[in-house]
Order: sequence, then C-alpha cells, then structure tokens
Amino acid sequence: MEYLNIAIAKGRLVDHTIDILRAIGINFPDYHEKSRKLIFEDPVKKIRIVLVKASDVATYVERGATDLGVIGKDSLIESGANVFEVVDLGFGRCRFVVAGLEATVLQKHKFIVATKYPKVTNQFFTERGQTVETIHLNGSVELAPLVGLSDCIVDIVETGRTLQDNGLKVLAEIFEISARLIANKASFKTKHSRIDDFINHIQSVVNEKGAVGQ
Amino acid sequence: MMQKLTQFVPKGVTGMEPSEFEVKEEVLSRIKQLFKKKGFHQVQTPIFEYYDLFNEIKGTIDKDQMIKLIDTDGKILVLRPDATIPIARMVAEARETKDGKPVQKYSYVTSIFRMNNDPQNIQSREFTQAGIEWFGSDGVQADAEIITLAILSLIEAGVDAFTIDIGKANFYKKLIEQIELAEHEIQFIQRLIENKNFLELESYVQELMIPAPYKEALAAIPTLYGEPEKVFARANQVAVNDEMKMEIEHLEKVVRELEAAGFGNFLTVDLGLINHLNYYSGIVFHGYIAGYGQPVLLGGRYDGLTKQFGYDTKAIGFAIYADHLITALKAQEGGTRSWNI
Repeated sequence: MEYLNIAIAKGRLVDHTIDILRAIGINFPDYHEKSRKLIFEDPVKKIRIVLVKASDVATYVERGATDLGVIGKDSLIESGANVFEVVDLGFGRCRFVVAGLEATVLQKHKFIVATKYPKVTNQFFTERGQTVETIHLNGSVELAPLVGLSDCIVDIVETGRTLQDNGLKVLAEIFEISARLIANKASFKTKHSRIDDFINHIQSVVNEKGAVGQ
Repeated sequence: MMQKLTQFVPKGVTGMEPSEFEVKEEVLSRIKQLFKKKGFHQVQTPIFEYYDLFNEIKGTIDKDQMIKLIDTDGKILVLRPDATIPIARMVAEARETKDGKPVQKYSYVTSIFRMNNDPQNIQSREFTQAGIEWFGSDGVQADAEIITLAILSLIEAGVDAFTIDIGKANFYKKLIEQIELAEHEIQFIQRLIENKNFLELESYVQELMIPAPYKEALAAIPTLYGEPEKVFARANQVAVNDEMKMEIEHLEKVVRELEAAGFGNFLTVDLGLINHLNYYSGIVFHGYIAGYGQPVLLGGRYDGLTKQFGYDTKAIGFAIYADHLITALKAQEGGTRSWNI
C-alpha cells in the first residue's frame, strides 16, 4: 500500500490534528512538541505527515507534493489554491475582524488597512462598496494603527487578548473560520477509496468532538 | 543590462535540450500515430488570432489569461490560447466550400499560450497540447469511442496507473434550472460543488427556501463520485426529474461500453464535475496520473460550439497536456518528483 501524505500547518493546528489522527488509530511514535523533525510517519497505517509553514500548506497540496493538508480557512482563502475542501475540522476556530482604535471612523475617505490577508480585506471592503488602500504586513499587524501606518487592521482573533493589550477594539466582524482538511484533486481521484475512507473516519471523529464543543 | 544574456528568458517559457526534447518528441509521435491510426487528420491553426474571436465565442478560457498583441491597424490579437475554437471554425468553413462529406476527425499537436498566475512554473505561459476533435458524431457509441481513445493515448504514452474521471454536467444543470435563485447564489453553490465542500454546501442549502427534494439533490451533487455502480444508484435516488435520470442513463451506458471493452479499472465517475458549464453540453472527463498533482487530460462534448460559426453540428474532443504528461512519466520512473525518504 502506498503512503498517504498530509501537510500540516506548523503551530497550533498540529496538536489538534495529531489528536484526531490518534482517535482513528494513527500514531506517530517519534512525534513530540519539541522535536525539530519535519516528517513523521506511521509505518503500519502508511500515513506520513509533514510540518510546513501555514501559508505553504495549500501549495504542497495543490501541486500534489502531498495528497492532503490541514490548513486554517484564512490561509486557504489567501492562497486561492485549486483544491478540494473536504472536512471542516472544527478546531482552530477564530474570527476575521476589522480592528482599530476606538475612535476610528470606518467610512473615512482614503482609508488605509494593514493586514496579513489582502484578499479577505479587499473582498470585505469591495462588498461594502468602499475603496481602501491595503498595506501587506507579515506580522505584528496590531502595531500599524498605533504608529500611524494605517487607520485600522484586518486580522484573525481567537480570544481578543492581543487586541485588548494593544488598546484596539473590534470595529466589524467579517466571518468565522476554522481548520480545514483539503485534498489534491488528482490524488482524490487516483487514490479515491483510501482518501474516501480516511475522510469518513476523520469526519466521524469531528462529529463526535463537535458534540462536546471543541 | 544587469543580467547575463544567458539568463535573459521571459517568465513562464523555456527551451528544451536535446535529451529532454527527444523524450517529448518520442511520446508525442506515438500519440500522433495512434490518432492517425484511428482516422484523425492533423491540422494547424494560426499562431495568432483576433481577440474578438475568443471574446465572442463561448469557450473555456478566461479573457485575462490570453496573451495580447496590437496589430498595425490597432486591432487586438491573441497568441493561440486554445486549439478547439480555431478548428471548429475550420470545420464550419470546410462545410461551405467543399462538396461531399467534409473531414470531421481532426487532430493537432501545438503550442498554446496563456498568461497564467503561476509565473514560477517555467512552462506556464507556453505549453504543448496534443488532442483530437470529432465533429458530427453523437450518442453513447461516439462518447465511449472518444474516451477509449483517451485511455489508449495514455497507455501508448507509457503511463502505468491512471484514472479517467467522467462527469455529466447536465445532471446538475437540469437541477439548478428548476430552482429559482439569484445569480450570486448559484455562483456560490457552484464553487462549493467544485471544491467538494460538502458540509458548507449542506448548511447553505438548508437555509434556502426551496422544496426538500431539491435541497437533498443539491447537497448530494458533490458526494456523487467514486465507483460508477454506487454513484448511479445514489444519483437515481436524488434525481428530481426525468431529465436528470436520462443524463444518468446515458452516462451509465457509456460506462458499460467502456467496462465491456475491459477499461473498467481506469474509470471513476464524478457528477460534481461542473466546470465550464456553458461550454460543455454533455459528457466531460479528466485524466489523472497516479502520483501527479494535476490533470494531464481534459475533454468533453461541446455541441453548441460550431453553431456559433453558423454550422450546427455535434462535437466531442479532448486535449492532452503534453508537458505535464512528460513530467508525470519522469516521476513514474523514479525521477525527482517522487518522495526520497
């Protein structure tokens, strides 16, 4: 039997994913949080995981370097990748929001938005019929309105703690996101019975977990 | 000039050294011979055409993806973005000038030019397609014959393991036509189906103010894939009208033909294959090679195309993405693209 390869976004999604895989009997004996290894395998179940940067998961899957991937919906949308989006894994829940200082006026002319997510940002403001200038940053986006780089930010928030600590408020909600299982379209066809089984198992674990409110 | 002249190559195009080119030529000549043996005649179409041709004729190529030039009289030209539309025009012309039955089986091996979003890929803007177009044929036999030729082409090229995934876009079309929805709702639903986003589609459909059987059918579409037998049974359960059932019946007959010819192992079915709905009028199919991430073959029936040139005839065809095929063949032989651990 051939290996099924899964790319997972490094960071908070890894542990959740490994928990779900464990629940369907897939184990990676040499995996522990501190490990610097990037590839782990379950030689019995023929499953391999590779840990990659969140924004690269979609690329691995789209180009067929891995059959499947676990990725936040935020990165998936930004990537614009041509893949199947087969399971809402339920974990990694957070919200896309517009945030800024309390006094920010959203309707202002020549509005400047700093974000890691230019696609989501443009889509949101276009739908509102507002033209904005987007500044693409790679991190610490909260800083932008504080130093006068932008009027507000578009970012994902989980608890709102970072916003609060930096004196920012949520000005508008965009949408909720969570982690997704994605599949390469060709693998989905050429290994369909294996991938189908895998998806069904994952889906049933997710359904059970959903009941207790992950 | 900052760069060395040897590095002075535009993005998305590449030359081929003898060793690479010989491999490609060898594979293509085998495919060409097969097309010829099956009665297809090779043709050539112009390397540039009027933009208006591709703008006015309903096709499968995004206008933004065409590579444009300006003619001396100010008209916009495009580098050949597709082979099918010019060949359809050729057929419509031939009908007007020749007496007797015009040639109806065409083949081509040609460069296609597109402005792709992936500038990293060295063959994203110029790539080779090898394909066939068969005009004036209709029905189960013709559909099965063309899919057979697609299968034989991949075998002839030396592919070990591949899947031909067959769909019938009209199964979905006959359903969505019955439901009153706004254009943006339909677009959203189609995207969810194309992405096999089962759950999001399910919850979206539940919110719509439409009868329950329609909800069930719509939510089921992306799940109707895999083993033909199972898919047909389930599809007949969810079909809400006779037209949908007729689409299944046709697809079932085509699959039976192919199974009887011993090609069953190569087939899967997917009724969620609904890309280019306005172009394809019947059966559609994609060819995938095991271990290679992208389709290497695309095809289907497009009966409406020649009518736009004033000649109403049936048409079916497919194109092989030769460069993808060669890369996949290399990977199959244990080249660089397989996992080395």
